[in-house]
Amino acid sequence: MIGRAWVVALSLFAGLAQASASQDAIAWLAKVSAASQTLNYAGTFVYQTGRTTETSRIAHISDATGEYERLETLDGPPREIVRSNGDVRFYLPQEKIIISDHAMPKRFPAWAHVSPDQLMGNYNVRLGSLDRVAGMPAQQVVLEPRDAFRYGHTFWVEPGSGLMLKSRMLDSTGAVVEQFAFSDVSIGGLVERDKVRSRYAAAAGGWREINARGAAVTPEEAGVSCRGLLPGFRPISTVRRQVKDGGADAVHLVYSDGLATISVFVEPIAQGRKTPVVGESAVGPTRIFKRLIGAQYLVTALGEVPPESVRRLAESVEIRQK
Amino acid sequence: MKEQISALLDGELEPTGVQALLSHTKKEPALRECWDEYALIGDALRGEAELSSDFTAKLMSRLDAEPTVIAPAASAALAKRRRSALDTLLPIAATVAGVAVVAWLGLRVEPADTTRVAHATTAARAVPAADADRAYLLAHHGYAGAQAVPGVGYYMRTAAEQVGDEVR
Repeated sequence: MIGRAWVVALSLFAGLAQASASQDAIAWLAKVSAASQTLNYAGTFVYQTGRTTETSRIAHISDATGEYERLETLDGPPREIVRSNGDVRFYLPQEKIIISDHAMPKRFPAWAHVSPDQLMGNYNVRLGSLDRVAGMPAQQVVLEPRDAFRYGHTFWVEPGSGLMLKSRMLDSTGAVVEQFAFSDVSIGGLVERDKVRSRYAAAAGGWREINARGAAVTPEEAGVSCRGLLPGFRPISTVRRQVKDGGADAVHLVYSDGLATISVFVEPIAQGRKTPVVGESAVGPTRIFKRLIGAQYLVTALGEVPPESVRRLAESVEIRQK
Repeated sequence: MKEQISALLDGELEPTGVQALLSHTKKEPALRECWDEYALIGDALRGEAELSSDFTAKLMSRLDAEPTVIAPAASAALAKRRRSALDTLLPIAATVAGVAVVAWLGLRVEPADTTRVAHATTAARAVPAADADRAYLLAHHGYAGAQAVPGVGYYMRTAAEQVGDEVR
């Protein structure tokens, strides 16, 4: 619904103002946003990051009762992620673990909190050429970062439906950080309910469940803030959640620049626990920076941004004594 | 029997049980395999995987050369242990899993893009990823914006990351 409102708002905006190239491109992004929620589609895509290339299958249904999605990896150990409206369950059959979470309803881009102005302030947004992906025409939308705190993006969008067929994330040297591309997809039409049902749910009765769900709190209640923010990033959410199984609650702050997001987790370190290892690390395209505040708090910042960005944000965290 | 091997490798098996276990291990290929596996897991976790491929073979050949001593006391101890096998199985499994998680955490917090990491991760390929980091990633990707795939595909990263730096 919000997506549709955006399309309307954006087309109004585009109608009133001079239809510049970047407004056209923004309108394309709004179309993608709406399409990702309203379309029925099912297909196979290839995801690549670093030296890893993986093929996965995805299906999405949107009807009167809501949105349903299922993603399963076809390479390596089986992993399945099922979403039923906001409920996300991540099945790891080999380890017999389920991780559950509550997704933010609006995810492309994080526009519920961010204005197109912010997006354009951080990226030069323009339309690229008309290309072809998975046998379909695909309009390129290019976002070039205006500084070194974020990566560049190119999206390939199917013009009729607005479905994103391919995306690519580039670092400042032009190297590919992450790439996704449908190799085969059917858009619209009937997608059987079975395709969005978990294959493991019935057998997962005795599996260990880790609940990552959180409760929204105000920044004041959280008692944690980032001073001297990262240029272009704004706070969009503060949640208190138990991230570690049986551990203490962590405060989860989310920052967005209109496209990229960084999460900052702040959690008390339990007495007598081994001191966590701190510093820089990376998992796939996600950069992680951990640091300690005194000996009491562990700060973990992570996001699909250059390493400098997560480091800066982690180092700006302050705890207010309550 | 397998839990005894685990206990032996952890240095937790009573001395009286050791001889009996070793003689069993010598006779049964399945137990040898199990030994191999556990030793490898241990080595991988300690980052000593390179030593282990012929280490196990050497150790086994040395065991072959040793005279077999089957003491009645050892058998009695063995029977006692067997009774408690169910009780001990779970804690041992938990310990193995716990160690694995800790080791994986250790691997994953290494700086990125170094050959050392690549090597260590390859060695410990069977070790599960840390639940905490996985939960972090999932929580983050619940919010992560537009960079990758539509819809649940944002979680693609969470799914892909579970295999660490293993090349595929």
